[in-house]
Amino acid sequence: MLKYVINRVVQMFPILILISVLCFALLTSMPGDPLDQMLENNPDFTYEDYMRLRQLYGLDDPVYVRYFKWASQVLQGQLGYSRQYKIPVQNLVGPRLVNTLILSISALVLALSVALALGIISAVKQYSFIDYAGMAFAFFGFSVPGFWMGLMLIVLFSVNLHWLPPGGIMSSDVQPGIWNQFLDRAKYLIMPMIVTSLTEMASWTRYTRNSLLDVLQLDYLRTARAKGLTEQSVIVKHALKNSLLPLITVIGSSFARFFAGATITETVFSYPGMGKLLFDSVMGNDFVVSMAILMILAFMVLWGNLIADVLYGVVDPRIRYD
Amino acid sequence: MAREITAGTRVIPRVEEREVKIVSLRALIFNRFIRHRMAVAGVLIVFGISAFSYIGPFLSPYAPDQVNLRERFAKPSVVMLAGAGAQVPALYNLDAINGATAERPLRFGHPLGTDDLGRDTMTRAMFGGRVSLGIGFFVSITSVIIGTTFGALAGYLGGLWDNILMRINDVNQALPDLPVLMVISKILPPGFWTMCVILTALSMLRSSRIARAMALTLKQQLFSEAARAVGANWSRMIFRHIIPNSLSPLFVSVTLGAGGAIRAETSLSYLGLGIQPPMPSWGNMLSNAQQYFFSAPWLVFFPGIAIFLTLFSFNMIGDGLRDAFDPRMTRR
Repeated sequence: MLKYVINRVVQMFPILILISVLCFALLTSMPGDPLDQMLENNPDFTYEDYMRLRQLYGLDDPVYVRYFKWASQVLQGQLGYSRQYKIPVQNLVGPRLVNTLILSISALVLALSVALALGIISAVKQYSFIDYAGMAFAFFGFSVPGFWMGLMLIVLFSVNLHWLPPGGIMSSDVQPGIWNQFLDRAKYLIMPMIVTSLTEMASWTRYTRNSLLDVLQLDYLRTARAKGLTEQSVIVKHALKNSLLPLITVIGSSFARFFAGATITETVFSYPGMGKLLFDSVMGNDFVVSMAILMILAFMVLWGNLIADVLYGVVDPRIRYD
Repeated sequence: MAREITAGTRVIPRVEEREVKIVSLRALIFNRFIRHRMAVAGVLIVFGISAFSYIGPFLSPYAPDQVNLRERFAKPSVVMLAGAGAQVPALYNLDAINGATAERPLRFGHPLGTDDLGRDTMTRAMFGGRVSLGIGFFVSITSVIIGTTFGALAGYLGGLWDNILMRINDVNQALPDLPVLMVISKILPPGFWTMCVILTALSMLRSSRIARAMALTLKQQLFSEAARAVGANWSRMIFRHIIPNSLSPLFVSVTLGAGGAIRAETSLSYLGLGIQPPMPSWGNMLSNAQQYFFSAPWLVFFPGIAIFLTLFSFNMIGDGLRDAFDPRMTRR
């Protein structure tokens, strides 16, 4: 097992290097560079300054030289300096990363709990009203575009009903106290959370239902029923355990989609997370910020997959990593 | 009683002749697909939306970029009075019907309302549909053709190409699609064909993964060995044996890919990176509309419904195809 994990971690490095090269190549071929914005925004900025700064930042160097400069900086723990926000990238990305993680994890919990409940009920009561309703909901969830869902929720709950704030992350007039702050954050989190989780919720509902239905046909469940167990313990103790195992892999590989979905959700709800930062930095040619975020994303996706694979090996004794 | 024919030591029991209806595989799959009611509904909806977008503009009295500042933010209404402007009260507009005179005749209104420049939303939605559906169809079909060829080649031949394809796939799976699409669409000049090319390039990878996996399993099987034994070379193996045998997952991937491409296009256009105004697309109509959703909620509603219905029907068709191709025919 340990050998397998070490092997996987070692394999991660070439992929990360490849990704960094690719992202660097893509980002450097975007039209415009950070200095263009300075030239536009600052009337005192002369052409001599422009040329001097180009020299200083090494913007005229060949791409591979710039790549190695960037890489050696990153390896020394320096992610660079954001030209748009005028602060080091670590200080910029850190809080945003926390916000995105709060959003993604709460969306994950929501998606998982709804999907499990709905999927299990649908499978146990196959062809019932709940089953059809659950499957209709699943297809709705696959098909509804996230940004539109977000807009409709804002129209309904913020514009018409005035229940929830249309966007942002916290109120300016929040009462002191941890509990008040928590409730305030939660109020801002509800709609982004629903929109982010919807697609995964739908696909996991279907997945849970189908894999539980597959397991319910197996012989060992007939044995369990035959020896007189209650239906509840047959399903909860015997069927669920086996049917939910593959879900671990599915969840592990969904990290990427949560973050991709977060870009859209965060833009719709102007939630200050990493997705919105990525969008802003791509639009504003803030090169090092986009690079840092893309690398963090790739890193998290790779680790998510690895953790899912290892967990799967831990819970399923049939799988051995030798 | 069935007579037994004895030949040497072997006993061959005579099978009583029964009437057997011979059904070709295609008919079988077609019948199964027809029985999936939601999938059939999906096909009908896709046809309906295609008719709306491709035929509709010929019937519409408006042009997609025809600005009419006297009719800004007109509410949805089928009929309206000539020169009545934006003060149209309701969908069937009884005031207009009652108030019509010989001097001010009724005329065709804006069934889905108008936007901030007085452009007819329905006509714009039709042209937006041409863009979105066009991208969906183009991307799904070309990406499956190219992706399958590359994937099957890599899976069957192995070696360097397989390695390169797999490394590209590793990178692709470690990076979420949307950020990559954002960066690429900023590099290339925006437009319909740019969107087609970048979405094809990304979704090609998915079909190549499917085709590669199919090629890896199929080339081990006995029929492949038999074909090789009678001297089939690699191109015959791939194009006559591997690809025809992996058609069923590929068909499913075409329909789901069309939905995925439309979703990606609308998301990018919504963010302002895909199709640029004044060319309408369902995505950029929404991004324009969201400033006005206090005063003109219909602008947010209709393009979204169009996207939703399209994605919904493509998903349904994909589901129906998957069930139809499934040899175990599990009815779910």
